[in-house]
Amino acid sequence: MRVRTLESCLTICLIIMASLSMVQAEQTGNTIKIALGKEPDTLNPIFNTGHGDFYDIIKIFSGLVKSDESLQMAPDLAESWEISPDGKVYTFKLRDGVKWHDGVNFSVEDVVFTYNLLREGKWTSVFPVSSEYKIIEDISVEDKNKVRFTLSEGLVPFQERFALPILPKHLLEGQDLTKTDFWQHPVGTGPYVFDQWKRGEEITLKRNQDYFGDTPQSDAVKYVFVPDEAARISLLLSGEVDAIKIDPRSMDSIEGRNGIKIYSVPSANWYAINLPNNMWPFDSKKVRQAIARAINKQQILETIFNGQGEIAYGPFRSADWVYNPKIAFKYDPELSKRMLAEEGFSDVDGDRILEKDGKDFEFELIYPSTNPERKDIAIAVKSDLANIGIKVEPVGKSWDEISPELYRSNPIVAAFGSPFDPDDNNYQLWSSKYIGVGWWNPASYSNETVDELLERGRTTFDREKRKVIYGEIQEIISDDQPLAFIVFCNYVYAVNDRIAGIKPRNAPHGEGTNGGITGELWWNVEEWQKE
Amino acid sequence: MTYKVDHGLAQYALRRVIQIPPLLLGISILSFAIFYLSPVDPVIAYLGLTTVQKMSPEDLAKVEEQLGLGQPVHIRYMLWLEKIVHGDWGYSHIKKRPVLEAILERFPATILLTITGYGLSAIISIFLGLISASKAGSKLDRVLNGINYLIYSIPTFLVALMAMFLFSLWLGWMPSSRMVSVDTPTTTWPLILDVARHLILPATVLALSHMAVFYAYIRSSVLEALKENYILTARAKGLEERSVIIRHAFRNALLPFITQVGILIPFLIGGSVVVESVFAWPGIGLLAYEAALRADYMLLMGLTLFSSVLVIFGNLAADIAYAIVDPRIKYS
Repeated sequence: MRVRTLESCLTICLIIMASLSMVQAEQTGNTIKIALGKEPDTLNPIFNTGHGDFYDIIKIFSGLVKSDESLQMAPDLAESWEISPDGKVYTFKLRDGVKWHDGVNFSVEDVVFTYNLLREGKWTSVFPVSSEYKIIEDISVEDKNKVRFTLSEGLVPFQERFALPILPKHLLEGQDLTKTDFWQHPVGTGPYVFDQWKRGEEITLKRNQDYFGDTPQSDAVKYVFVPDEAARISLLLSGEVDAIKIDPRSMDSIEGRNGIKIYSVPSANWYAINLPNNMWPFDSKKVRQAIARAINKQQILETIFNGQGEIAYGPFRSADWVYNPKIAFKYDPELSKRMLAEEGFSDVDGDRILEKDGKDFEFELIYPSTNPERKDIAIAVKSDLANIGIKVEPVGKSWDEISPELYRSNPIVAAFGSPFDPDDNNYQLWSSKYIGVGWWNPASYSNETVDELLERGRTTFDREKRKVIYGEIQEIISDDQPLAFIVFCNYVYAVNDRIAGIKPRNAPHGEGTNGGITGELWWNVEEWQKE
Repeated sequence: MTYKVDHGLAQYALRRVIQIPPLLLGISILSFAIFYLSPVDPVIAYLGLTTVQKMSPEDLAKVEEQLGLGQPVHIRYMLWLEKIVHGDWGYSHIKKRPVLEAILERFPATILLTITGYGLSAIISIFLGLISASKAGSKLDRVLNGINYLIYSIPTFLVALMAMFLFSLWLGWMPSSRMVSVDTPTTTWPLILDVARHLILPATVLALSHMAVFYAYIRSSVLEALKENYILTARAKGLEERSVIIRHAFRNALLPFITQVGILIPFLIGGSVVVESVFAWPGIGLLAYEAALRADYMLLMGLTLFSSVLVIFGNLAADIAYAIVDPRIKYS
């Protein structure tokens, strides 16, 4: 009797399982599906912290200009533009007949509205720094298709700043921009129209039939949010999604399986240990140099980044047009020990930790706990520095606990990097003007020569002259090691090989291995199509 | 278990319902006190660190006034309570939207997962618990016990990951994550089947992670019941052992079990945090995990309140179910 009940139970279970596994997911036509590790909080493109905001914007919006495959600025809402020889006056000629997704005509007033917001800086937080928009002295409407910006300074990199999205004045004027639900279902002029946001699950954008540019190849783009990497890989392998960003260590196990192609794309994102230059014992240049030479960068690159990337000695990658090859130095812990001894450090009490004036050389190294690669770097640095007698205690903290004040007053695993103009990020990181300003110049680095070179770099329009200037800056920074540079990473993606139209390009500092909506391999998703 | 109910079920239920408002009031005071006593700056809790850092002193002063920070504590509590009652549970600075909205839209997914998971867990553990108890001391009993301890000792996230690796990554039988396919079916029946297919892995993992307690509980209370005199009577009158166990021992053993289920209702929320975050299940657990990780105090407080209310109603349901199942309670 019991056996029979058990049998029938099992049969029923099997029937249920079989019928369930026969259910085939419906094919919803030509949709590009991308799995991300993290859901965005909002789709607010002018309030962000720390990503390459003008690298590529959320596909719902358009800017006056946009960056192309070689990271040069190309026409977007502006058909053409002129820059005065001194770099102070920009005149944009706008496209005719552009419509917002709600059908209202786009106009020059929207441009003025957006740039006034940026100028005031009240509701905005734009990477690298919102405050730079304050150099816009005047915005004047020439005619209904022409707008002129007058700047107080002629800065070479400012052209890129015009890639930020234009916002609809008719929907946003007079609203509290921190709380409006516009950011939950935005309206733009871009290649895709906001369709749906299922919380905790996915965001769907559909093709803008009235797009002013080339009509997007795919009917829709879907970003699905799956925190666990193994689950994302599984979605890719089963063909449910088309593209994901992965931990470089996962690439070998999925390459070639079920038609999966791996893209390892160089990024400008570098990792370094912030050594606040105003804090004992990092106030000594020799100590910083010793630390930089005691970190086994090659090993970190091989193990944490699976060899995908390159060693960093300064803020530019070897393929960058301003890169100066003279800045490299060797991993040499023995030299580090001698340097520290010359600085007066010795292990008097025999506890394998160096002391100077009775103080142990030990410090806490903070890393953001949601970035696994930074945690691994912190642990690797701990063991490398233990070899030369420095005690490091890695401490994980959430991003909401890491305030800019904490960031610049503690040794921390930092990451920055921009693939754009060499001034971008670097001016804000190394200029003494930026000491104490937000996340910038976290080392409180101050060097008069560098300050002066940075000013010249951003105001010199001749490319060859600029190359010399940034070459000099690199030599000084590599010698000073305000932060101990470690590696540049590559961003690694796994993509269905049926996808055509992929154009890998150098990527900015961004969302880590989770992947973001912007700043990734899918920067040109409107050109992607499934074969 | 010995209280006497001499009036109707409806009256009993009513009496229990009347107890709810004071309980709710107590919970609201407690929630507010936790928040009030925490060392966090209320303005930061309300708006988030990044926003506060960008605000001018005048704007900050305005927010402080709105929050009634200058007022004595009981006034602040009343101000807060008034908002809660009117459905204004504050603003989640990580989700950039009202707290109650953020919680409610995630609630159905959690309910579906936890009810399925707990149902499954109860069925499996009752089944195994009965076998174990009726064969107490046998080899089978010891094997079941052993397996039970093993499952109990493995952390849930590990079970979840192992299940995912085995059934989705390796064998490809089950979807690895999410509540529906990425290409979501649009018609009713395929949609239901799709959700059911996605439910299997997370619900089973959730069931396994809570099975141990249920199983041990059923086993010991059936064993306990088997020692009672009425069992002796039942056996003496020549009843089949199956009937003795199911109709007499189990029915009585079920009573404390129902109470136990009532007590475990908080885990309805808490227990699914891990499962939801591994399987990307779009429920409250995932939300709570994010809120805790990113220090969204308003959202955390909302979740605390919300789950407290759930526990109260859960216990009410359990008590009423108890009254229905207990054969000693007679209604006029």
